Amino acid sequence: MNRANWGGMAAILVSCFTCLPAWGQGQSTVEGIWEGAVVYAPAELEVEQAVELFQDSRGVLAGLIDVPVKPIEDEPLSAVRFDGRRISWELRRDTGTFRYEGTLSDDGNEISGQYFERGKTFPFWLRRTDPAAVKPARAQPALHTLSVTGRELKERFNADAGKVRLVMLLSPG
Amino acid sequence: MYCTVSARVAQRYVLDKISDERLRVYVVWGPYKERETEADARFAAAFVPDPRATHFWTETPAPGELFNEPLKPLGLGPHSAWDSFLVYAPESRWGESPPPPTHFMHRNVEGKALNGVRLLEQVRDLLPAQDKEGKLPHSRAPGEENR
Repeated sequence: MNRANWGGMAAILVSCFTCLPAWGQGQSTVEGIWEGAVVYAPAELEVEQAVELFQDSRGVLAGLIDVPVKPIEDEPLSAVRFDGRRISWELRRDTGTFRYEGTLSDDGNEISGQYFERGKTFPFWLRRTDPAAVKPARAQPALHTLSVTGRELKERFNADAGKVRLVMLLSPG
Repeated sequence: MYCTVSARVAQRYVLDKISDERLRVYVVWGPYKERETEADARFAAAFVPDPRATHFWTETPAPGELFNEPLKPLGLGPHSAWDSFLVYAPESRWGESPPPPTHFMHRNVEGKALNGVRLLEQVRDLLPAQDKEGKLPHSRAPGEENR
């Protein structure tokens, strides 16, 4: 997630550093970067997402969301609320308003709850990521052209005989 | 988007959990739904970044349909083989036509929908005992906590 006012955020973090608990030791704030998924169907349809929660320039809790498969990147969240351990926010798009209502775990490192989409409800979870971790650049695998006979796949398949092989036949749309 | 999410499930539930080099994955991206393009395939391929995976793009559904006949005895029925996950044992070889897989999952075949937990088990069971440590990805989905 890239945010224009990251410098301001860093300044706030530095100034508050001494009053915050150490990483992973029962953090009571929700600020930070969170990664997880909305689970439409367990182990079948889980849409990964990342949320960054921060204080904006007015000191109001705000957020951005990435949903890479959509793709949605750095879209602002609305109505971000944090009260006790309850947290909620909305993603407002042309296609509708998508609401998240969750609870911060006791150790402060997980948010789990319900996601509301077009009258349906699905579970979601997010785990706090290590703020010191550097996110690796997204790999771009090579894409090979497959002829109508499937010859290139056949050759690769047989060259790998002796190994377990998983073939996926998928639409990228 | 559904297939891209499915591919991502395979990456998280299987490839992230089994480090064995004796596993290979071939992801064939093809335009069997609408007007998917090679650019779409490049975008989707990034969701399966594992180095053991080889990604193909085909401009025609024909290569995927080569698997129709081998899958019919396994319950494919009237569906196309597209949108499926096929698991092959080490001894499988592709002769005149693709061999039938040991296991397959397909979105539209009853009882065969993709499930990352089952796919992990199927792949793991075909690997010799060397790498059976695969643990499930973190999930708070109902019923996942105790697996």
